[in-house]
Amino acid sequence: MVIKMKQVTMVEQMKNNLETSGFFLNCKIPMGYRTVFPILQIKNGSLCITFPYLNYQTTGEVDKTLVFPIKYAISLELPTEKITGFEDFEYNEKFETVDFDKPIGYFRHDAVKKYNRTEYDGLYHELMNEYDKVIHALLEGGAYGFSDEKRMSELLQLLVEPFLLPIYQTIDKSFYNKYFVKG
Amino acid sequence: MFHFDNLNFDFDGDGVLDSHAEFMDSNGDGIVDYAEIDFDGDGNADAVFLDSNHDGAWDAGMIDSDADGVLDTELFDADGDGMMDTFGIDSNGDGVTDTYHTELDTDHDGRIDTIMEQYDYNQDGTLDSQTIYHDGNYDENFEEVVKMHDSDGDGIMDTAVTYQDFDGDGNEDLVITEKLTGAGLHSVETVAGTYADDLGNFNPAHADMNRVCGEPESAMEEWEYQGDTGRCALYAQKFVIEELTGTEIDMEELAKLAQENGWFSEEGGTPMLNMDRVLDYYGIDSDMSFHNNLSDIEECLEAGGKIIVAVDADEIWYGEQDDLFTPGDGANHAVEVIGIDRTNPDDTMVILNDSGNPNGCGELVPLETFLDAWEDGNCQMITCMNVCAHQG
Repeated sequence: MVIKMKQVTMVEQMKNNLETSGFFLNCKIPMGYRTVFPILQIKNGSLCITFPYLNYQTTGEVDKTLVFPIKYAISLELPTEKITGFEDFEYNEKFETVDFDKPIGYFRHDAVKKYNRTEYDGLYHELMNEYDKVIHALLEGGAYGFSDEKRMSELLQLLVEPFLLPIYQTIDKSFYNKYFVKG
Repeated sequence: MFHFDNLNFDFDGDGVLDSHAEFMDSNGDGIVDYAEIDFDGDGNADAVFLDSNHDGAWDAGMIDSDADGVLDTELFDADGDGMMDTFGIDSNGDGVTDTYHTELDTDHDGRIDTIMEQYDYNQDGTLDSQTIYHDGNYDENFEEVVKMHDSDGDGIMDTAVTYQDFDGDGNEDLVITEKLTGAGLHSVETVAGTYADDLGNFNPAHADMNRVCGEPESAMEEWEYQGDTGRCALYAQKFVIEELTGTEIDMEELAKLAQENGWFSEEGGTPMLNMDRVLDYYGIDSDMSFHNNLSDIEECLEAGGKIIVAVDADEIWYGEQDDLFTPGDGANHAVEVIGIDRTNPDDTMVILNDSGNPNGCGELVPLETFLDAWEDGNCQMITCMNVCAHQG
């Protein structure tokens, strides 16, 4: 048997720590919800990371996996990973017009249809590494340049499903403006 | 009935009434609640209006749209906001209203953002189809169109097709077909089941039982298919309870119990925290843990224990297809692990009672596939060793 050694980034480790914690279990997020690309925020001088959760429903047909709206978010303060917030957007008036039980798009969206599983995973982990670089730079003054920021922006614009962008914009306009607005 | 006022008009002075309007205050509260207007002076009402709740605003009416002397179009206030927003038409003139058109301004910004069209094709008084045009982001483009209809003619609209145009180019970017299951619930129809066609099933006759860990043969007797429900965690617990107690559990009663206690919902399924609540209720001593490995499973099975795990079912059912995958990772399904089969040492199989696969009784999953799918749920596992005295 071949054991695959998976390189785990700092952000993915945070997610794993969160999802095996008593807090996460008590949030009672239904099984099947998974986190998508997190949002970095500075709140009162502290660096925070917010993990959005949504549901993908596989239909068995290529490029017809149903994507549902982001419904939950959990925020952590870094580097302590102290939980600073949990939100169910169904009870947030900014999302009053969203029907969380209805899919809003398909995976894979047009921009990533050309990437197979291995290629997509490669881009996914490259983006997770970019998150690690920003966090490292902000917390410990690690090296971070314009090219890093540009690459992170490119990857987010490529990988985040376009129909999720209004939700990202509503959750955090600064993060949206920094990474998703082109030009 | 108190007649509030009558107005007669002879615009050209020829002595013939051109128009006649009659207003009434039926309950004598000083507010007009009924109006009847004969625009053409032919003695027949062309429009009548009613303020049924006496709040000073017309909330229903009838008009003669084609001036044939017959009131043929209903008007009413569907959302009760004091504005008449819906008209009903008798499209074939048989005296029965069969078509309704509604325009709503749901955010009260002065612009119509929702339009509904409803039809009673066979004119039996029950709507057969409905189309809703929705401008959810209030940009004056109707980016979502939902068409509902009664597919089997039983008088109940049971199918909804949603068309969404994300980029506003006028072409649909997404089409979703849903089965309406009553009371506003809807389930998305799955497309062309590719459920685990290549996965085999455990057969003791083909296995070296000295190389099989667990008691898969007896466990398989308790397997059931969950159908088009989100009850996987309930089924996994049901299997374990029946194996350990020998008592048959009725799934509908179990689902009702879980719903009443908030452990499960038909729409949302079961949160991870609640994956052992039914076990507790039935007096099964259980323990939930994360970051386990294969030897933890084998030790438990060898000791006669039962195991429920959370997995990414897509990896089990659809395998490692290059073009069929989901971003990130996470568990979306609960199954019972009922054995490990090492009959072929080079091809170890994990044996599952998988309620999500119609062929999931003793489902054989290659070890590597199982481990990948299990890892996505952080190798979570519920172990059940025995039955406590207490129940309920």
